[in-house]
Amino acid sequence: MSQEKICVKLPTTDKKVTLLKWRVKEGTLVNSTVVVLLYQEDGEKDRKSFRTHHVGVVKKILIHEGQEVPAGYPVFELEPGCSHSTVVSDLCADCGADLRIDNASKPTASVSMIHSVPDLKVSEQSALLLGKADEKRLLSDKKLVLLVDLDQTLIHTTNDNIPNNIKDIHHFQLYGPNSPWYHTRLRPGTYKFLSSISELYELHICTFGARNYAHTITHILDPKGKLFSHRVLSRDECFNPNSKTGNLKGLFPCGDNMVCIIDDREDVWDYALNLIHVKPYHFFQHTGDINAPPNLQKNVDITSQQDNRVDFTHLVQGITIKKKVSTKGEPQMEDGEVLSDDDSGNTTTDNDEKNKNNVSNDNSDQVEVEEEDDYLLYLEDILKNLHKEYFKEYDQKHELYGNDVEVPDMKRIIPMYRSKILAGKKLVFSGLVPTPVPLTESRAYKVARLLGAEVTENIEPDSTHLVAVRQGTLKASAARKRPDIKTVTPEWLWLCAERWEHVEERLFPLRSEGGGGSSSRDPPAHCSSPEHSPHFMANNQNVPHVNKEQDQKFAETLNPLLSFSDEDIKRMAGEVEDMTDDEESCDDDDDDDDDDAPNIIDVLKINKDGNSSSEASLDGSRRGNKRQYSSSESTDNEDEAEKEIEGETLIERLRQNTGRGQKRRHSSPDSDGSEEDNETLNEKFRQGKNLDELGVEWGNNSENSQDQPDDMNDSEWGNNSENSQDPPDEVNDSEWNMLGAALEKEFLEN
Amino acid sequence: MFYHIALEHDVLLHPRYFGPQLLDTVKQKLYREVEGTCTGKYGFVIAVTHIDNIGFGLILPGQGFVVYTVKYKAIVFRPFKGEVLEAVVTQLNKVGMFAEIGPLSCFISHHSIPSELQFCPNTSPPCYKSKEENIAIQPEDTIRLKIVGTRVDASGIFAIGTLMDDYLGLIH
Repeated sequence: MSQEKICVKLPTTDKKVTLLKWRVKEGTLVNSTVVVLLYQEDGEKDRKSFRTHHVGVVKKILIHEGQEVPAGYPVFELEPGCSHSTVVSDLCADCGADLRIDNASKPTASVSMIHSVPDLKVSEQSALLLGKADEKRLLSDKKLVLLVDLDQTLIHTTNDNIPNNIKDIHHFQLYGPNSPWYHTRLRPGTYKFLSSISELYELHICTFGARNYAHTITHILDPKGKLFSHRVLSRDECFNPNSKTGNLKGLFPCGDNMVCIIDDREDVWDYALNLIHVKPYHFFQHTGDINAPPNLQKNVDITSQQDNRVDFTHLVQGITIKKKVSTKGEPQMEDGEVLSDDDSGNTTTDNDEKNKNNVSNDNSDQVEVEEEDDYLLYLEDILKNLHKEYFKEYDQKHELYGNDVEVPDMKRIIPMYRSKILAGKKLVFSGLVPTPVPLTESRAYKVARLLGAEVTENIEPDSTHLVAVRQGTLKASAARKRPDIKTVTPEWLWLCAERWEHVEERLFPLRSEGGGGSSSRDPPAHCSSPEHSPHFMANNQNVPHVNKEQDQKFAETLNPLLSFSDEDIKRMAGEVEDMTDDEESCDDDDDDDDDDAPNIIDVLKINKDGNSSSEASLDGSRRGNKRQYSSSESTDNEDEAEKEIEGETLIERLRQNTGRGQKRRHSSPDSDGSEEDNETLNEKFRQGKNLDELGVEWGNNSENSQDQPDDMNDSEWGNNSENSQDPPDEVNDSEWNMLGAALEKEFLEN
Repeated sequence: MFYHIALEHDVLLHPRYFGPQLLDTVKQKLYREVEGTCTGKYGFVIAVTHIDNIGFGLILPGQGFVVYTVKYKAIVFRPFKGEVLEAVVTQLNKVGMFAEIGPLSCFISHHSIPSELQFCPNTSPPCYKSKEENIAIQPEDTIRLKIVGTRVDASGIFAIGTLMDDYLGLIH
């Protein structure tokens, strides 16, 4: 567009003209609609406005306001042509030209600056200008930018059937009356967190949820539009389906120096330095992130299952039902069992008919579920401190160099702040890093380094902490002789990483023999990236048929307490062989489905049995018992198996089964029909019993409970695995479940 | 601009509607299928005012469906370049503002907003505000704008507007 400048003259009159007021500045784009200036003809009183017929940018103003213009004298120079710097769906928003027709002028607009309207693009120059203005405004307001993820960071959403009488769960449909229901639970303290953090940060939502979903959730979080306004970036606007980083450049053309991110996944941000990896929020069982990016789904599954593992026992223990009315239990227990009796026609599964009888009808009673998740309180502190650090540095710079300083970079400040948490501490790990893994490669090492601590291979004179999995190791006994070394469990390290603060060491004493358990060796989800694979399975070589990594992980995720200690494995080792022999015969008189995936099943069985037999091997009589049970229930199991195709997930299934097993032992075995079989744990909830009671009941019921190993605690799972008498069934179930889940996922993706 | 014009539409009717209410069904179906739609040529069909003629029903061979060609008059809204219209502001941002003229959505670039109006992102909701006078354009406000360009697709129209002219802007 290297056209000649045009010298624009006022309409020719003989008279002299006084230029009264410029309505445009140099650099302004004018077209036939824009009033360029106001002028007055000599001798006349009324003002006249002038506009040019050309489209172009005012290059140079030649006559100043108040000056007299001789007739026929040019008043300004104009560079014709529009740069089309702002474009909406191929229409230039400045001159209105249709850029699909007007091929001659190529649009320069390429930066999509508005979250919700990707069609609207501006040129890089204007983007820079706008970005600069934003930056200035933020600095003058003493604000930073915070990109907020939704799923598993602030909320947890599921498509499962959730009874509609639980407090603080939002139910909604997105795509008309026959579409699936979404049930969303906000993380405890979300409203408070958002409102207090919005004073320090400009909040943006960056989610992989669909636009509809994102906006619905935004409306729930912020009904008045005060916090987020229109700053919502959803999947529809994301350039890259697997990464959120691509859009950053457009939203913040001047760089992301002032941007801080909170997300439960690091990978979608390419492990950005300004990311605060949030402990994933997990409320509904067996639902991960429903909006996980498609290609990363596999990893997500693993992580979410891991979450499950972390949160499961925690959830069950942490939840108290406030009103013990005769309503349904909590969502953790029943999903498949209790269906939401929504009037508006919920998606019905086969289970529904079966369970209709079980659903009591008093909707008015709201069950309040309390959680122990207080993570947002810590996150708020972290963000407040970061904000303080940032502006401390900015003010210092500002004083020194004046206005034009380069703003400090969050990507530097966040790691710096984090590395102060355990600065000066010297850690030694014991039993935490598997022997084949070099120390510097281990996750624990990386976490500790991020927190600023030093890590040494062996105890040194200036070591301050010993992070030990169990007592009795060489290092542990060496540390005991040194009063200056604090001995803690790995949870201490994980908690430091979660809260970004130096947690009191005395809260995590290394308990005597058996304490801690090997489960603490694996970092929790917020400390481990998705591709991180749990290492303890490396010990598992004595299990035959198990080759696939995936299966191992899967098996491990099945039951949070399936992870066994080395002693367990040793004790198991001798047992494994005759177990497997035995299993084969079991398979025969059981369902025929399990032939499909013998690997998984074997792992499961072994795990299962290994678990329950870790204290005392199963004696023959009990095994015989088991077989009897499983054969007598085969009819039930068959129609169960059919239902699983509906896509329920396995943990729940496991629970149901164990619940059923429990029930069976409780009442006279399988005398009742299928309805009786449904009486599971939540049934008891409905009957007004609380968890503790049930737990006690179970303890009494399980004959073997007295010799449970320490590391099993008496969490429900320990009991379950104890009580369950028909592991083969469960195996089938879970296998079907896995298939179902995969199917469902596939379906949802489409 | 609004026009009252004669249009034609083919209504396809399932045989189960054959009966005493047949013509009423045809009319209902016409209203449902036509009102609110948008064609590139005539713009948005706002309302059917009068049904002139319902043609002979033609049974489609092999199907049993009947086609009625209905001639009707309707009010249509067709935006033109240069037209001045009143609109409701829906969303404001630093690049400009979006407004709706009934069914037509329209964007006004910040270059086309008088420079005395500055974007204030801190107010809630964000607005375009002048420094000295107290003019503030917020969502839900009514503005008068001039259309400078339209994108006419087969299924919809999108417009670009400006506020840079006399008597354009916020309507009190």
